[in-house]
Amino acid sequence: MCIPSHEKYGTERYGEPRPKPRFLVGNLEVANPGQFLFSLRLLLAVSLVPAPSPAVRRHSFPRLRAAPSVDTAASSRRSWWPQKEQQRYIQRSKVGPLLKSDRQMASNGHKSHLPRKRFYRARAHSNPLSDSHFPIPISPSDVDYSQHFPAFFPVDRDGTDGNLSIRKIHFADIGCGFGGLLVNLSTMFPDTLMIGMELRDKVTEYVKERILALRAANPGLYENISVVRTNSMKYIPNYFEKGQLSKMFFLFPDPHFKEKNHRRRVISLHLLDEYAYALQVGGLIYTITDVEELGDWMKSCLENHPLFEAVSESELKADPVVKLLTSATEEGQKVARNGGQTYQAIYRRVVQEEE
Amino acid sequence: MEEAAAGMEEGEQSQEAEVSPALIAVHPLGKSVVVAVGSELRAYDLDGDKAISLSDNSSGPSHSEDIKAIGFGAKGKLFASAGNDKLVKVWATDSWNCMRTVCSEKRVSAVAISPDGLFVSFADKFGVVYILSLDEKGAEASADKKAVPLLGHYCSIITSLEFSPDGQFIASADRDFKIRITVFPKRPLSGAHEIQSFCLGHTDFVLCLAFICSSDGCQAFLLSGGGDSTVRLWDFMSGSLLDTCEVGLKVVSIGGHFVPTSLGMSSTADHLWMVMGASNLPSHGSSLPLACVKVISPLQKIKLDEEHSNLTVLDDEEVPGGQKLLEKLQGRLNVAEDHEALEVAAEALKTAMRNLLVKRQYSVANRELRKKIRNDRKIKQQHQ
Ligand SMILES: C[S@@+](CC[C@H](N)C(=O)[O-])C[C@H]1O[C@@H](n2cnc3c(N)ncnc32)[C@H](O)[C@@H]1O
Repeated sequence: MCIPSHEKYGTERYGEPRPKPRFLVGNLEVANPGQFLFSLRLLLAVSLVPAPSPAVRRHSFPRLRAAPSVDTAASSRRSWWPQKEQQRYIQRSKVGPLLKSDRQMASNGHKSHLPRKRFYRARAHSNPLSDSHFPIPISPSDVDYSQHFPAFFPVDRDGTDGNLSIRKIHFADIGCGFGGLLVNLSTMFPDTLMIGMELRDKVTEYVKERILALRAANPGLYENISVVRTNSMKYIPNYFEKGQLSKMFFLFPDPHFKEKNHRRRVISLHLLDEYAYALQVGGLIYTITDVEELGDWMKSCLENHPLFEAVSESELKADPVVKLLTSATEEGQKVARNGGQTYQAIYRRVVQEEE
Repeated sequence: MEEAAAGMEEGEQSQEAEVSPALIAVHPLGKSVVVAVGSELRAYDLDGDKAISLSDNSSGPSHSEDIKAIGFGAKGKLFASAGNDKLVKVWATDSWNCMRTVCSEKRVSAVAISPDGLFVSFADKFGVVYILSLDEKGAEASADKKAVPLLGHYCSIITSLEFSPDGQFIASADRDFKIRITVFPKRPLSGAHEIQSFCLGHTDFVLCLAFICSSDGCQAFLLSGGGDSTVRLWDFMSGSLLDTCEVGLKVVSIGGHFVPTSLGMSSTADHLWMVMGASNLPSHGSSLPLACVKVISPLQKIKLDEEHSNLTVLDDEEVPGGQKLLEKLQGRLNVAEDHEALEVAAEALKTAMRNLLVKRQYSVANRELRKKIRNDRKIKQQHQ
């Protein structure tokens, strides 16, 4: 059984080495053997459920980090963005430029091959509550970010992970849609890794191609942005460690007007617990919407949450990111074109006050 | 049911035939044993060597559907039961009187009483954990006091809830492979917002949790068991995985068709109590739901690393409380001889468990078909 040995505990990942925990049941050196043997309950209950066959398990839950493996087909299945495919995207030249802004960015004589949005139209809404059919990392260390940000992860010939853990994502754009915010933030914070999270697969594909096209047209730029297809309402902890992020964005999220659908909203008191977990103390959460009712909702959730505090007006004025909220994303531009009003709430992650 | 997870959707459909495993709980000081099977709670007083009859002063209804979670709390002073009838009942174990009945909006899948006995916490199939104060001193403590949300796992069945022994944390496990460790706040009625860690590593649903202490009692760890056939040991403060035990090959055979559906033991750990049983067995007719109790003793002899070679399963006469106890907890004697019934129960439970917790695998074609059916249904609704 899993009786822990001293060796395994000698060096702790976090902080001080710990004294040897002893709960050997063999010679009853146990503080509470009842609790330990409770594990038998787990064990026996588990025996009721046949484990899925290895094949099924791999399919349903691929490890995202491609293990050093000879099975290249399998490993390319594992990482959503394998190098080879990347090249294929870049070589494909039929897709024309998409946005005026992108075209300006991609000037300098380079023929840019930006994907066209209309090829990627998808259902207007995806249901965040349904079981998912995309790979989910078991834990944050399971994601191979060198696939997402190759320029920030120089290839390590001997195959060791080396300093992979040095670069971490600091910004997350939740429900990034077509990726306009990422593209704008990319050049504003060229040394910060950022990721968009998007539920709709076609939209995610689009953002992927958009980024690859921008990278191809502007060598050295746009290397710090990427996108994953996932349900942010369920899998934030699978992607980010505690306190990893310094900024989270929720721009023009789906409003879900009906009362019974409010629990589908991407901001809620319960979900803010998870966002507070992923954000470092002092980190910021940016929200904006053109739906007044949703604006009120997001603001009141943040206001009522003990781990968030409103950012002062003067700070907001000085923050260059705030200006992007209304102008950078496709949704924001649409609202602006129609002269719609917007409602924003920007809060800081704080430590809970002692009472 | 358009928004329900696919798994839940089918779970709801087979609602009537849902088979639930029998559960067993042992008083931490070994004073009593309780078996839950179907909607029935059966309790036996080991100290007084007599069957216990439960009473109910809570003015709430009694259990009418499968009980899904039971447990002692507060050093054995309190006991909680909850289940598909959306009721959570809290019992005082000195009198075995139900002191509180709480109605939940959804079916309840897990329940836990805080170590100080001041709160009961329960979770529903949509991932929301609720909390209710049991403190009777407050003048406003009345039967109609509602439970308030404590925390939420977004739309995932919560399979287990446990308080850390010092009452500082509450651990919740779900069908999405996740274990969340939350700081249990001083004023929990306004929610538990500070997440201490996530324990991530299971590659299938998490089924059960248990806190354990090192022998000096100053360090606690968390154990979890899951559908990936592993038991895992966690440093729950940081969420790091310390050890993984593949149990697939190490499952103990008790002999015959007996596969325990639940285990229990007191903190002195001299006996390991096991029950195998199920509600609503298809071929079992309308007679009593099946429950078979067995006891392993003495536990001191078990060497876990020796594959349980020296386990002794007690004969019925040797079980504490003897036949009187078995008659109470099983409903009748000699259940273990009913091989056919046990076999049927094991099959039915496997299926029920898989339906409830294992994520379905659909081929692409199948998925598209399901999507189409859903959309057609939606369109039809809109036209009505
Ligand atoms: C109205 S769009 C706004 C997109 C973008 N932020 C913008 O401002 O243009 C909302 C986006 O959130 C995505 N979304 C909704 N729920 C999500 C979830 N649970 N996880 C990830 N993305 C989600 C939708 O697919 C959609 O693309």
